Amino acid sequence: MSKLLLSKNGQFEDPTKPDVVEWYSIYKLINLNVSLVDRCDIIENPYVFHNHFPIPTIPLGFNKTYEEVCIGRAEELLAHAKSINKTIVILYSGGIDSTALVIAFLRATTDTSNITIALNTASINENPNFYYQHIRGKFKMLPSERTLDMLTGEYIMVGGEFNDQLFGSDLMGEYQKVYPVDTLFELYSEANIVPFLESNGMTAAQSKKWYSLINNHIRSTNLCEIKYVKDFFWWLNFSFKWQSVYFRIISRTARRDLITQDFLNNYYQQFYNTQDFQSWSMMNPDKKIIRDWRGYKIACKEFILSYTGDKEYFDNKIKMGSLSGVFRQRSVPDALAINDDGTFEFIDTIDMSKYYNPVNGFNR
Amino acid sequence: MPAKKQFSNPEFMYIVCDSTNLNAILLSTGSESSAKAITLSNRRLKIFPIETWANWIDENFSNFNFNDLNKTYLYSWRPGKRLVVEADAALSTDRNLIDFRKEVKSRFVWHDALDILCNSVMCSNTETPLHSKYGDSIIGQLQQCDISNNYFTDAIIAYATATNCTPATAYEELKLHMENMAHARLRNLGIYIKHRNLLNSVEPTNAALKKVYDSAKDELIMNSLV
Repeated sequence: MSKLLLSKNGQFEDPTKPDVVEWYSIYKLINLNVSLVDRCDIIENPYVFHNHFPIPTIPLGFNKTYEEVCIGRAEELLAHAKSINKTIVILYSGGIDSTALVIAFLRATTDTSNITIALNTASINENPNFYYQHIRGKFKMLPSERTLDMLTGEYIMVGGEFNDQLFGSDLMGEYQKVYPVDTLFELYSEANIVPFLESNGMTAAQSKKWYSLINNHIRSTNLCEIKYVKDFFWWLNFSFKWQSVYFRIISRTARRDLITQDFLNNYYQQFYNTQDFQSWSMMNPDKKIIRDWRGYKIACKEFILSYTGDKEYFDNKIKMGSLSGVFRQRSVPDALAINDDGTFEFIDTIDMSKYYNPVNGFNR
Repeated sequence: MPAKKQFSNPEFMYIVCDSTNLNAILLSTGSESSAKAITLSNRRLKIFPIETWANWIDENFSNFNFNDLNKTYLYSWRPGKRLVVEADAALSTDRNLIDFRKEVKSRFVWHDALDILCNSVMCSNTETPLHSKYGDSIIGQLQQCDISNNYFTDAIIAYATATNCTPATAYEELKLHMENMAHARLRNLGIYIKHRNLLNSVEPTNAALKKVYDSAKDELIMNSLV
């Protein structure tokens, strides 16, 4: 039987099953299109999910900077493009993540003839200076409204996904709307996490259950330093949302018939999806956010500043979601699953009872 | 007699009539697209645009409420005049007409909601009013260029000069905007037509019609939330 990779989770709501009700309560906080899958295989969902991205271990002696990892990744992708003789298409939203990745390529090579930028009017408006100074006339361009039609093997699609997971979480921004800025930098505890969960509509019992699960997860994995409220939310994003982020473009592709793992390895690359980036993230909790939301993704913004010299952008640019603009006006299957033989299955109408897992982390 | 309603000029009122029942008016609306959508549900339905500001329009078009299900009016026209009169008691109480009107009204509410939804998605899309406004001119000029022979029209060259880039870059930039706009618009149109046709074909119950609307909302917006 297949195992789920990503699903529309609204269909799993089942008030007759107490374990499902408890698990489902997290969706007061998280969007229903996100599937939380534990990359450490500790917390078992009430529905059968496959862990496609086990959390990596940090290589001994790893000490690369964010800048070094970025440029190294761009060089790696340029070599890959050369080896299979394909053009790289960068999905550029104009936001922090995709701006940094364009800069990584500009730092890695002076020959941009094999790189095309996919963008739209919103991408230009997001960061006009960067567009006019570093993209226009220097790269070939494609309309990003075609993004989901581009997974055909004609190009190597390179997106800026996962930088959010390296640096933190939108929940940090939400937390700052409710509590004073400094509290993000306080030691995390039940006293400052549970009330936030409750303020989003979870019951006291559900909030305590989820806090306890994540706290135990942090303690038992003990992979890196997680001390503060900001780290708690980063860990939730980093260790539970990764898989959802990888598959959300794939699940919306116009060419399902082409999707195999080999195909994805060749033609679908998310820039920040590497062991080096994840190692950097686990080893550098102090370089993710400083002061407040404007200081979010600080190491990434420093990398951008060092290339553009745009201090105003560095000081004032804040993270904005952009992907949903590209995802509008599209259908999406109920779920994407993986079969025992490693093939992918797009499930347009799911029978959720087939995936119920009675022995799970929410009924023990 | 109540005062004549004041319409801004030009503002059409669209009335949807039952052509098999003396053009009994089933509803009126300011939305041309919603009116046209509902007429596709049954060939009995005919749409008439009423030029509310014109002097050949019977002033009762301003006085009557054509969406009041308790009143039935008939639409007619003479040379130089468009008229509306109250239907007689026999037609007003005709069970078949009453039921048909209710069905049309039920579907229409959801057509109107779908139309608004599709328009609002385009408003929040990447398309800007500027490119939309100049779109026809831009496309006309792009079509006259021959990029492989490095030929660009004077208008494209003027745009390049004004925005400080080469004609080839100007061509690429304008083409990018037009293609993004076309892709987003055509997806929107496709989703609209698909759900418009469903709204006209499902059972006219509120639950069935809402399900179609929710499906459109999923495709247009909800599926994009990540």
